[in-house]
Amino acid sequence: MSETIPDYITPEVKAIIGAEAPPITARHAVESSEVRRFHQALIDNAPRFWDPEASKRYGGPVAPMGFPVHVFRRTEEEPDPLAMMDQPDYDGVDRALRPGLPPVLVPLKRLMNGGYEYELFRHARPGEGIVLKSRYADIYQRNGRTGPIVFVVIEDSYETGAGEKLLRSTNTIILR
Amino acid sequence: MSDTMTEVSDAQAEAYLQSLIGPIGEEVQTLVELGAVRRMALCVGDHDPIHFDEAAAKARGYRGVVAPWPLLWLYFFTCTIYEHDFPFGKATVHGQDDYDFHEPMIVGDVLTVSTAMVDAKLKHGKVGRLGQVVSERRFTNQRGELCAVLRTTLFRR
Amino acid sequence: MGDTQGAVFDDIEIGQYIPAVVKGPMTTAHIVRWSAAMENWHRIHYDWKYATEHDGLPDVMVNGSWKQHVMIQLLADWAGDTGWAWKVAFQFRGMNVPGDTLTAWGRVTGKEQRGRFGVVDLEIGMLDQKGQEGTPGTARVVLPLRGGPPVPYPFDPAILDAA
Repeated sequence: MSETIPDYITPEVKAIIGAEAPPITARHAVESSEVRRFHQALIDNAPRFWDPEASKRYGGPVAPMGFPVHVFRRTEEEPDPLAMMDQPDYDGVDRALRPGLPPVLVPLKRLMNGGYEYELFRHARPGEGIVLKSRYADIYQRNGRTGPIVFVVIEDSYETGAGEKLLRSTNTIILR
Repeated sequence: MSDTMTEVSDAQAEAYLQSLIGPIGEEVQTLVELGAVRRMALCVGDHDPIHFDEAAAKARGYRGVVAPWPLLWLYFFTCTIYEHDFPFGKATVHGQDDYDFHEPMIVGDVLTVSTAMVDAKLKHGKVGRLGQVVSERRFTNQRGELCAVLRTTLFRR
Repeated sequence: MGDTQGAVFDDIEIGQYIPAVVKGPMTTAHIVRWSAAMENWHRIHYDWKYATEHDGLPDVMVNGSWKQHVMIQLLADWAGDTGWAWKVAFQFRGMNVPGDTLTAWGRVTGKEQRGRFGVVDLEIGMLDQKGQEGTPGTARVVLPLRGGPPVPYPFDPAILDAA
């Protein structure tokens, strides 16, 4: 008998393929200090992020193009992610991969970012709200040499509070 | 103590410390941002709704969302000069802080932060020569109201 | 200081490399600064004991999220304020650790004039100091024609189909 490879794409997991999250609005508008923190951490000091003269094309200083992906921060209603850090197997990552999407319940401990496809339209600016619409485009399993690997494909669409398109992304998350 | 201590005489060290007294850098203005307020409140585990929700804050008599006082430290690090060179000693350690709290800092306020060295003296303790400096940061809102005073004591040894 | 003139379509030749973006050497401090800015608590980015003992990794890991924005920077710097980095895709295949110096690179694989603008396809990637590729991908950048108008902002792909 060969070893049995477990099938993690259970009916429960299959049921959430195609699931759409309700539109989520970031809890606060884009702020200058977080744009600064972002471009500094990126080690990208392009003047369009801070110089009113060098950002005229954009109507004033803008956030780096990928900034909206990171504005959906923990809310006061959510549990403290650090509260579980005393558990030796806790990796610090919420299995609810996007706000409003159900968690992918597979017993795989390691999470890796498999990559992105982006389509870019417009920078976010300080003062603007950001709205995210997410859906699970696909969830599938491949069995590699090291065991089963589950791929979670998430489509995200980011807009301003006024409905202007910012960017679209397709993100593949790898669980193994 | 080590020989390096002897390179600068007590009198020279004293004179250097005295020269630090006075304003440090220019006044800096900074906006109190909602995201920064929320982040600090979550970080210190203060879930009082006045730090998150404008209606809750107004119901309690505030002009708007209230910054938790530890947010002073964001402005300490991003708006003020907090490192000083000393011609003597090996390490600078953070000794003590004193706070005066006055008007609450409200989201949307533009704070003016001014920094000054208000005290500096040379001490001789069991571990040797010790410089003690006290810097003061005053936080004033756009209405001219004093919000807070933060006094920080550093030791140079 | 005004708009930065980016690449012009007429000057582009298939096979050419665009100016690289180099970051590093990366340190744990760089990784922690990014993780804190993102509020990303994934332990492999700052907890050395967890990364090496629990996950069996060689060290704490440079964030994939950080690398993707470096790739966007590579394209945005080349496009300047007159072009537009329209599409970018990449995979995270390599693991990068403190001590690594990372070079984001791009090479033109195709070009096509569409309407009053030019569309350039590239292969892109990010090499470590040993020359190992860790973030292979593709990109599509829209550039102005020589003497033509800059790419309108915000970007709307429909301009490529207009006469």
